[in-house]
Amino acid sequence: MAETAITTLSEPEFKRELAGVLPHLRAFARGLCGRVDYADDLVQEAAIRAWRARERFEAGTNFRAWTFTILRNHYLSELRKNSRQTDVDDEVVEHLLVMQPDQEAVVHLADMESALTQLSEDRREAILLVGASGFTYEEAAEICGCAVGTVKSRVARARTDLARLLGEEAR
Amino acid sequence: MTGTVETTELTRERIVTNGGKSTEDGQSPGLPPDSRRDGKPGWADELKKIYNSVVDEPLPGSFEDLLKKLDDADDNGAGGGKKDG
Repeated sequence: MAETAITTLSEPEFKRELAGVLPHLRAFARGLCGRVDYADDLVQEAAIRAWRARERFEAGTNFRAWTFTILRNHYLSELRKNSRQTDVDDEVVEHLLVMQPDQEAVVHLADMESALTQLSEDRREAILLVGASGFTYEEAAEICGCAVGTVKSRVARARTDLARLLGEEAR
Repeated sequence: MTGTVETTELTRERIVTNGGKSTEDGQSPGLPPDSRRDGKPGWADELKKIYNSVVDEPLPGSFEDLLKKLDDADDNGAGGGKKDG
């Protein structure tokens, strides 16, 4: 314990950082699991875990990436516990679109939502991190605990999958 | 690598599908957002749009509550299951 002398955030600082990443965690979680309520449950649990682990977060490093890692690991362990969570039904997709006021946009987004659910877990995670959350390949690799090359190939495959899925649906 | 090539082709195809109009000044006011010309396929923007729409949602009250009760989270073990030392 004495050896790990890292600079940590004060509790108010940590809370402020945490509050700031919550919207991003919600977006990532929703993309991962495709369910509004379940995504928020995941984020709640991840936030509590992050808080409890706050002394392991080094001030000045990437807080968002750190919390995404916690969320991602929690999600995957829940997934392992409950493998049927991977299936997302149409009702859920409909749910996701409630907040979109523009009807035309809804049609496009519906395609995207259903395409996203058809990706493998690895590829969906990779394209969400790099293509939506704006992480670099390196950051995404850290979050997923894998090599940078692995993330790159997952993103490339996700792109090919999406292009195919959406291309077919557009006809 | 092959993915990139396919994607580019798809983008071009989509631009044509979306009207095939191009104005002299390069501006295209009526063009839908998924027919971008920056080389990114339309769905890349859609994915971001979905993501950002969630980011921009007002945070549900349950998260405010969570932030308030975090101080108890380590003492009382919110979420349960903590054994006595």
